[in-house]
Amino acid sequence: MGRLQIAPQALVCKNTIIEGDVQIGNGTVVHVGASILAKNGPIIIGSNNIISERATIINNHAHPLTIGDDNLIETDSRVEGRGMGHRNTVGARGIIAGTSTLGNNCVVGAACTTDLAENVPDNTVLFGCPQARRVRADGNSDHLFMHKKHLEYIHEMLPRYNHIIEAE
Amino acid sequence: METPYSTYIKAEFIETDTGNKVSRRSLISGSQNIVLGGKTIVHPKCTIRGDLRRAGPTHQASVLIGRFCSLGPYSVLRPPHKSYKGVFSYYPLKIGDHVDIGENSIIEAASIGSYVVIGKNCIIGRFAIIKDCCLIEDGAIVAPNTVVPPFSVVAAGPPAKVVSHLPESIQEVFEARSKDNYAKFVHE
Repeated sequence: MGRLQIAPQALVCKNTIIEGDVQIGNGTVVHVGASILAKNGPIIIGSNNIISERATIINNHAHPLTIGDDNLIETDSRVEGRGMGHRNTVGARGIIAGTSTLGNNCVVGAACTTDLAENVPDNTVLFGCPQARRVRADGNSDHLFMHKKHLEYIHEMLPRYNHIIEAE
Repeated sequence: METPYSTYIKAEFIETDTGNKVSRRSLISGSQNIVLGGKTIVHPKCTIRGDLRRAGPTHQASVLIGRFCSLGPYSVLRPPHKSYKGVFSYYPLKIGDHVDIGENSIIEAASIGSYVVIGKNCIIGRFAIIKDCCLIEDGAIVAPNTVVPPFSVVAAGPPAKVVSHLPESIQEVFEARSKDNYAKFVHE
């Protein structure tokens, strides 16, 4: 039973695949080609997130997958697990696997994955090959500032070139 | 070492008068901001984000691609973005001639030179600059803002490193390869 709730200010492109019980918060942008699949349980996405093309957010468990606010989920990444907090960045092809969760202010580098059942604490950076973790050295303020500008920009640009699903 | 002919169904591709062959199943946004040089092949399911362009006067191309290029299936070409002096903007993605982009690669570079071969499953980070005559191996993950010097072979990662160098004659090899690729991509 699919129920898609889009908050008024959210921008969801038409070429996305959204299945199941999905709630998308205010200001969130979902780019073309993204997939949000609430297979066995609902997905609740907070406000002001940016979900890039080909990103997959999939919920294979019964409990809800919550994504907080101000996150940036980049191209071709995959979010399973129980979700994440606020202000995170999941790099291109990053994977949050199994039943892991991501805290706040984390960065998952390009092509990096979490373990299957890991609760990544706040302010962690996943990087490198082989996998390594470290605590974030700087505050998040630069990135947040850019994120806000990014959102404003996208809200202006995206509707001009893409079909958007109308929010009720 | 003869490469085989690869055929496509005529109805599935759009062929322009400059010889570009664009798959109908590719995901192209903002096509008015995308420039294809000529004799370039865009394979199915390739994503090109022409809609992410610099704000300002209209008719600014956001993705510029040269001649005899080949954009592999499932690849993503996305202009890079950054915040400069407090102003956020997307910058154009420029790709030279004779560039072969492998399957499933994510390209967010600022510019890619000519005669470059990018393997499968690569990730080219934001604002990377890849100079002429380079080879990016399969699965390489090039960090953001890297500059890859000419004639280098880049592998592994993250972050990808220069592992060896190519001879000067590689330019002719890549050029012949891309022309051959185009000539052998025929409709059935």
